[in-house]
Amino acid sequence: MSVKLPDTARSLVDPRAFAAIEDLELIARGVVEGFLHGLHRSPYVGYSVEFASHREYRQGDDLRHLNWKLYARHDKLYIKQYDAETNLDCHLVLDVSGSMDARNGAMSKRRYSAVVAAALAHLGLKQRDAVGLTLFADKVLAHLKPRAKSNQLDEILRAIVSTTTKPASPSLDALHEAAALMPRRGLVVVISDLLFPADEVFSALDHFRFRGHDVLALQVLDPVERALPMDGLVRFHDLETGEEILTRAGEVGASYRAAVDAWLAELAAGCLGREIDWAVMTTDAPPDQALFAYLGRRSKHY
Amino acid sequence: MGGLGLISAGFLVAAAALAAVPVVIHLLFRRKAPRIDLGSLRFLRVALKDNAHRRKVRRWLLLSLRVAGVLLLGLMFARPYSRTPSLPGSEREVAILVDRSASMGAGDVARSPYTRAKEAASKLLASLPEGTAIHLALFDASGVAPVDSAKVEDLPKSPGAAGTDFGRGLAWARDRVVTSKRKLRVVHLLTDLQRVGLDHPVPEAFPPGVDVEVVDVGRTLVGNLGVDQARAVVEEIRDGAPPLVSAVIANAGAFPSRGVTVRLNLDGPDGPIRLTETIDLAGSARREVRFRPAITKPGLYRGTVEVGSGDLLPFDDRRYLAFEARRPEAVLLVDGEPGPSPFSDETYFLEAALRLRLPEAGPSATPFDPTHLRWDGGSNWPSLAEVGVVILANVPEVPPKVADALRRFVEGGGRLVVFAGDQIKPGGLAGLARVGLLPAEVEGVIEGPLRFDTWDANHPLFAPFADAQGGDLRSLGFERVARLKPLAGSTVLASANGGTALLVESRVGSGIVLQWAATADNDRGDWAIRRLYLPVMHQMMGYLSGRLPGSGLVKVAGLAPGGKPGIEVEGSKVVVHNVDPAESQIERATLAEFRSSLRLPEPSKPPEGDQPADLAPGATRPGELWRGVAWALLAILVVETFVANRTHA
Repeated sequence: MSVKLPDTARSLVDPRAFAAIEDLELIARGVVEGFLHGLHRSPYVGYSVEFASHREYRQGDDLRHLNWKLYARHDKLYIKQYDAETNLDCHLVLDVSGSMDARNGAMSKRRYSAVVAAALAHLGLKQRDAVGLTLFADKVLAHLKPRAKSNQLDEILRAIVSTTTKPASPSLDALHEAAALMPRRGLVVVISDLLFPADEVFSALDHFRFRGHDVLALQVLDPVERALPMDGLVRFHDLETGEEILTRAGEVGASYRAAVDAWLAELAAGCLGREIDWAVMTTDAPPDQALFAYLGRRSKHY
Repeated sequence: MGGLGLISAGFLVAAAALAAVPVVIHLLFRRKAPRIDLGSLRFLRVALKDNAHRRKVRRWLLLSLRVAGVLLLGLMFARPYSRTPSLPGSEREVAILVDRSASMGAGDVARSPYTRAKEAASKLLASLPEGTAIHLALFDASGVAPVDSAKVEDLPKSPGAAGTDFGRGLAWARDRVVTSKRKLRVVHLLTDLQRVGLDHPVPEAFPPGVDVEVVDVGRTLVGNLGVDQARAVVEEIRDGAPPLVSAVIANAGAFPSRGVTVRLNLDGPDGPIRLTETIDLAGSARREVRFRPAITKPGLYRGTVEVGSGDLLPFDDRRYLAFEARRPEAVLLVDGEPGPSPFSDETYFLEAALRLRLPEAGPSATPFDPTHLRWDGGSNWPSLAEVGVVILANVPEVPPKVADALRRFVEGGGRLVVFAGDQIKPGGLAGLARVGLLPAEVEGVIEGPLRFDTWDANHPLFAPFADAQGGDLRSLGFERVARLKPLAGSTVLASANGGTALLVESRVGSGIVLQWAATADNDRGDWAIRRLYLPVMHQMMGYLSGRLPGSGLVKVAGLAPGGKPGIEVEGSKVVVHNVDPAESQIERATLAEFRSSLRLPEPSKPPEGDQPADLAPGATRPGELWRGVAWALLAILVVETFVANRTHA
């Protein structure tokens, strides 16, 4: 039975974003347990991959998918496209803690993350992947097991929209709790601001890696959180603790950016060493462009 | 009607304006402090920690600004001023007069007008540029005492005891500056403006170009009790009537004083004598207090009269006195032509003049104690052992026994007075002439009218009559007088018109002999009923008995410059020094009255940069810098507000 989504939930599915993403392929890592057909490289054999259409070759496409027969007949390069079926479990782990309510741009981190999660869910379901959702703050607030059924997107969107609590998240223990809820290996997409010390972040992500998940960390930051691009007297408010600090932003901006850069560099280096894909997105950039750039970059790895 | 008034409303307006500045700045900055939500303040804390040093410096700067602001606020109310004078010292002639009269010592030494005057003089001297010609002097009624060093440190620690004489001090200062060629000539007078000092005007007014600055260092007193006079009005020791000491107590205040204790302290041959009287005094009143010390032995008595006042002018609470207590002078009046009644006696007028009281009315009211002897040719001649003066009135002749007795009497220090009379013929009194007691030979009679014409004004007998204001002896006339021919060794003290000797004096041994050409009564004229007869006779008796003012052992003298009250022995005299009683007056003149009474020129504006020695409340001192300080304070407040708004956690 299909559930009618509220307008707010529907609005999360931006057609423009999906139109841009539609041509892309979500390429899971080869080590992910499950079935992978068509473009999905999988260690497991037995699932079918259904041909869908051809399109013209574009620079950068994988030559393995080139239709040589058509090239012989028409002297043109075409790439074969498939509607693949897979049993890939895609775990969307979405942070809904109070810190995600920061909004100093077009939208808050919470909304931006929801858009990204919805886009990924839509894309994954379109790929016939099993998509699940875990909402967490100081603990796991909601958990949907990965499924590939048709109404899974509605379930996911309802869960995202219906969660209104904004508790503080003093630690990433909730991610350990979430990891325990994912018995089958798959792709774990963590969408969070990850405003914790790098050691604590790595500890949580290592838990997913320990359970054999392929981890994609999408770090969503507010533009102000990223660079403090302002001057003058500002009263900074901590969304989780309620603490306030009154200071002149221009005087601390450089030190702030240096601290954030060092932190991000530490996260980048740590993720690279753990084979964790990691990307930073700010809410002032369109989410579709961010996903496009990210998935485009991943596709080159396969 | 009640309500609140403002003397300087401008301060309130300025304060309101200044108070608005930080409020406006605060509101300005508050609008510019938006709230920014962040997921975590972790990195902000790291940044703040990195900037801790800079913010520490800024907080120190803020502290410094606030401290500077407080200091400037205090400096502003301290009213700083520039001491840099525009006129060099080489163009200045300054005379500084410090009043050192007794009233300048009112109250404690530390707060007395004299101390304040010295402080003002010190400030004034410190403000004068180098090269200034300075004349510093103390003055009072006893004179002017210049201080050659022109240093306040060399001034006495306390004022004197003399009266106030502004005219003397100002005249001295005028002489110092009036001949100066310097451009600025100023006389600074530091005084308590005692009104009684205005009785001595400045002999000559100050010429144009000379400024006189009057600095009031006095204090207003509400009351003062003092001993105005203390003297022995009766020095004679008579049976049943001891000497009489009179003291006058003055209340210079407007309020009455009750139960005032007045003490007499005397020391002399009778030992210490202490007497106390208690009186009530109305405001602005004087009252005489009489003491009858039980003196029985002649001699010098010295001591004080004191009043217990407890006021701020203690110098007039004690007054020194000394007197010589002695028996009354015994005078033997030998009446050569006694009448049937006392009124017709030859010595009636003389005895009345010497006694000032009828014989039946009691003892003599004067220092003289006359005894009347009806002349009978010398048969009843008494002993002269207790007699001081023998007066022969119209005694035609004396027998050798009497003459010899008189000779011994005079040689032993006695005094003899011989009056002429109808019974004394030419060549009369040969007995006295024989023993060398007559100063002049009687040659006959000169018909008048005759009057006093010349007299020895330097002689103690006639000294009071040197000035006609004291009594014009020329008003005394005679119808006839004896023609006297002064003998060798004698002195004519007075003569009538035509050169006729009226009074001749000679000294015999230790004694004195006076011989009048006139009679003792008014038989040959009316001088005995003239008002000058009494003082002439008293002056003569005072001279002969050594009781003229100043002729005795005790002498009352004013204070020498810088002298102190007390009793001193100077040579053969006992000298009594007391404070000028006028100094007890506490009434003060206003500056306007003071200037007007002494004809002082109006003060002109001092040169740029010069500072007055004293400043009236509310007056503005030249070169004041408080406005600049106020602007600096305002600037610091603005900067402090900006820095404070930029100094946060």
